[in-house]
Amino acid sequence: MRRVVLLTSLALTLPLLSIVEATDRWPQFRGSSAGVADDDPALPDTWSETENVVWKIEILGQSWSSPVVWGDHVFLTSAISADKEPSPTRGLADPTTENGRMQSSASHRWMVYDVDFNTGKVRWEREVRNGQPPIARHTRNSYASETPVTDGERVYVYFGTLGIVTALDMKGDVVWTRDLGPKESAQGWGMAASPLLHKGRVYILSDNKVESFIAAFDAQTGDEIWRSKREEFEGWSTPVVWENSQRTEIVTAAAGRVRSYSLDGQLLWELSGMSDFGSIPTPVISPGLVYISSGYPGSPRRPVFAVRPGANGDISLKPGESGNQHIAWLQPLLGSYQTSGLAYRGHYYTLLDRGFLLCHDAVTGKQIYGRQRLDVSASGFAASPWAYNGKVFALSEDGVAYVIQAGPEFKLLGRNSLDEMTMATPAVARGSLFIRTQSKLYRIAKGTKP
Amino acid sequence: MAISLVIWHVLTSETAAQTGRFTLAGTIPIAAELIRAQVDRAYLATAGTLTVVDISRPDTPRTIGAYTFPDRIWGFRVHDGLAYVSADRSGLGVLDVAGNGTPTIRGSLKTPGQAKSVFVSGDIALVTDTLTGVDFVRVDDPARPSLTGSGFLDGFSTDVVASGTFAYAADRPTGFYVFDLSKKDSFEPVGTSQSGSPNNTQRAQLEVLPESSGRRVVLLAAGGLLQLFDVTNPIDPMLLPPFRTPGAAVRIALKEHFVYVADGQAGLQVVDFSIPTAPKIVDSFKTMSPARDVAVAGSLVLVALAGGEVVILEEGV
Repeated sequence: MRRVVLLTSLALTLPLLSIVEATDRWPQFRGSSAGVADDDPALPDTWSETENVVWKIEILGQSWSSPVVWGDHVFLTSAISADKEPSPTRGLADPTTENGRMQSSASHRWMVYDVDFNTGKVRWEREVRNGQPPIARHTRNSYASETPVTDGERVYVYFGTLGIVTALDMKGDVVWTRDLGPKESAQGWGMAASPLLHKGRVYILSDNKVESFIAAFDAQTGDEIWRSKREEFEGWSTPVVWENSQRTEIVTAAAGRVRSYSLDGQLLWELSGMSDFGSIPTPVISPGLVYISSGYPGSPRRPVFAVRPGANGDISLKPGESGNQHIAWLQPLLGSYQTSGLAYRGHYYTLLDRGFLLCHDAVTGKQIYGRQRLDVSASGFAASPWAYNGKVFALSEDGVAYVIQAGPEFKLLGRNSLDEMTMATPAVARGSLFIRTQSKLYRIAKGTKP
Repeated sequence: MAISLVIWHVLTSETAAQTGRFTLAGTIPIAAELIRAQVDRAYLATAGTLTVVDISRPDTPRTIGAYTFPDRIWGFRVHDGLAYVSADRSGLGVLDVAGNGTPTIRGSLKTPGQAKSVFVSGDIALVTDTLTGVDFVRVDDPARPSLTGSGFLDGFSTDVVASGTFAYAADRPTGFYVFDLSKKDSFEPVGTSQSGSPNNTQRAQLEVLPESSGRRVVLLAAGGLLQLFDVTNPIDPMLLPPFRTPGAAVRIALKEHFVYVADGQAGLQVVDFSIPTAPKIVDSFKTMSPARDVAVAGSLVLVALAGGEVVILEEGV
């Protein structure tokens, strides 16, 4: 049964009425279901630079944000440097010189693109800002790593480098802009947490060394509704809205604490015990649990927590505990560093940055299978895994997607190469897979001949 | 002129701080980050450059030649006239350093991540790589190193060493792993342990002490400590109490059961590990600037100093 979402503008004017099926949209980072797409026989299992490619287009600049899709619109952001920037290295980096930090002195253009779903032609492009990046970034990060969000009326774009959040209508005209100010992260590794959109509000999380906060803005006007200060100094994890059996809440992950907020900004619960360095993986929502992970390889703590709905206060585990009233289970050394987890058909999958897939029972945390190496020659994994049609997909930084059979038995079904570096998490909508590589955006669908 | 000045400064330091049998024999005016020595050769790594120095006459060391990799050298070992070099994202490089000319590259293998250290055991080079853990690389043909498998380490791998049929690896922050090299088709560790103190050292170093009373002990210089693992039972390595030197133990070199320690601000320490559970400092040498690596070749002890030179010490009886 396909769900149908009826969208109207507040004015309810007929020309703005649009009907978009749930499978025709992928409105935010990892979509609406934490990387799980509805099954669709049109979705591809195999592809290459030419096989099953409906279209591919060149995208200038360096950006690891993901595309988002709404009907015929495929939105994408980028930061284009006027000079040649150092090429990012592949693979998990053990920080060395400058701790991985770099500061570009070149002028950049921060761009938003609307790409036509059918043809791959750029319907419109909008320069949001230009100038020299005000903050540093990690050599493997980009100045446009935040994925936009859309509700089919507007696309909301946040460039953490600039501290700019802006709403554009479907024609690319600026509806509103909020300048939150650029804020350096503690280690100068830049920003990456994507905005969140829920019921007429845009949520921005900014963990930095100046003044960390989470804030809610009116999606129509850009007016700030509330702001809550946070005691964090850096972080790249995109928050999630968790609609569970008891309430709707916003779950955020960070090095200091995991925190959950009510929709009016009140702290509901918090949890300590994450990895030493800032958190990157996005919490994974499921109806009965939210999974929170962090896994810096140089940290003795690399946990995955599964938290039940309804928690209040400090739910941190005491030494020696592996669970409590609110924490269903803990795997203390399971967490990945950059990739988010995947909850799919009763299993919780972990894709380690260094190319292993692990599977645990999503409810109990019991290991189904341990580390399974995907490819010893892979340079590493930064994109988060996704799933459809009973398959789990893992995209390496080499641009190779490994197709794994979902379920209790590890079985590698195939590998599909685009032969170019990528760190962006793909999008899935309308029977198509959208993969962003370092220089291109692909639309891939089954049955497309070279 | 510059070299003379350096020697004068170190001599002053030596006169003031030497406590034992060491006399200053010479100085190599190279700011080495890593050093190794064999017979009459010293091998110095600075950034991406490996320099070979003739130390047959310690008072007048002579540079034979150098080779520069595109990336930083994190570790190297010299084995049968070949220098096996772990050069970050360049991977493993094999240099011919046997002749009297400039070192030449014989072969290389790009490892998936950052190559951090290397140890050669028979025809296998064990390479620690931040992405894969420990890579097992066939080097029976040094011109064509080939990857045969990898053993995963949880953290950032730092060093690997082998003795007999076992290899020992460490990672940051705390992991210690034992691999059974006789299992040709398995790259999983047979034993693991955790060190007591976090190892936040980029260039942590492992060495295997000579067996003592049937007991085999591996030494890990990391986190400013000498950490010890009893690996007599390889599937159950046991963490022993660490040994703390006066400074911060950075790198080590072995001569029999004596461990020479580059001990940071405290200079050079010589520790007797003939009884591994009861080590004792038997000698020391206060250097002009912090010691950051040490190598031993016969009676010569070379100490790389943070001040930008390598001092060559002659060890007396």
